[in-house]
Amino acid sequence: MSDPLGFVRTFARKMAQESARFALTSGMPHRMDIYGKPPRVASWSADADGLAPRHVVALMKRTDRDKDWPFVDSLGAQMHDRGEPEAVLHLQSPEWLQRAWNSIPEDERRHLIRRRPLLACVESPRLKRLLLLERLLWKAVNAGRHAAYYACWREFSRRASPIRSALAVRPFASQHAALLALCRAHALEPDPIGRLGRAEILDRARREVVAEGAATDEELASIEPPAEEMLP
Amino acid sequence: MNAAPEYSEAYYELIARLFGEDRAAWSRLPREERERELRWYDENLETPDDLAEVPPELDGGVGRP
Repeated sequence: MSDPLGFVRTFARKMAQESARFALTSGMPHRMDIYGKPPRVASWSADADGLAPRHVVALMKRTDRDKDWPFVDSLGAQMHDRGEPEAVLHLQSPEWLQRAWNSIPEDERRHLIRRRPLLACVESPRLKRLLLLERLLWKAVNAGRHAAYYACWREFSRRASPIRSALAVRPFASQHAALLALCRAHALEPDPIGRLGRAEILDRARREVVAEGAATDEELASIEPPAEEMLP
Repeated sequence: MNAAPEYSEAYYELIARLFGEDRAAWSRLPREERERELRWYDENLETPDDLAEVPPELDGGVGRP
C-alpha cells in the first residue's frame, strides 16, 4: 500500500464530516465512541441518520456489567415500538418479550429462534429463569472475550505505556501510525480470541453458567445461541 | 434527523422500572426540551471534548485547546 495511513485519514475526515452534519442537523453538541471492531457485531450498516442502529448498540451492550443490561432491554422495547422484528432478540422483560413474540408471524419465527433459542420457550413457566441463565451466559462469554484481549494487552501496555502518554498530544493520524509501529515492534497479538480459541471461551462460559446458575444440560441447550452470534 | 418517535406508554413504564422515575420523566420530555437542557450543560459546565487534539487528561477540552 503506497499510503498506509490513507485509511485512517479517510476515516478521520469522514468522521469529522459526519460529526459536523449531525451537529448541524440536530443542533446538539455530541460525543462519539470509536470501535475498530464492535464486540458481538459481525457486520452492520448505518441507519438513515448515519448512526449505529439500535440492534447493533444492543449487541454491544451485552457485557458482563449489570448496568449495561437495562439498555439492552430498553433498546429492544424501542425496536418493538418501531415495528422492528429483531426486537425479540434483545428484550429481557418477560411480559414485553411475550407480547413482542406474539406479534411475530409464524413464518418468521424459525429464523429468530435459530439466533436466540430461548424464543422457543417464551410460553414456558421457566421463562424468567431461562432469561437469567441466558444473561449469565452472555456475561460469561464477554468476560472470557475481554480476558483474552487483556492477557495480550497487559504486557504490551506495560512496555508501551510511557511512549503512549507522549503520543497523546499528536494529531490522530500521527498517533495511529506510531501506535501501529509500536504494536508491530512488540508483536501485539492481532487476534487474541483466535489464539485462545472460540471453543475454549464458550466452554468456560458454559461451565460458569452451570456453576453459578446451576443450569442443567437441557437448560443450557434451551438458551445457548450459536457460536457465530456470541463470538463472531 | 428524523423527529423523535412517540413510544408507547408501556415503554415509559419500562424505563421507570429499569432506570427510575427521574429518567422516565426525562425521557417523556419533548426532544427539543431535552436538547435545550443538554446544550445549556455543554455551554455552561466543563464538558471536555474527547475529540479535541489535546485530550482532556492533558488539560484539553472545550475552550482550552
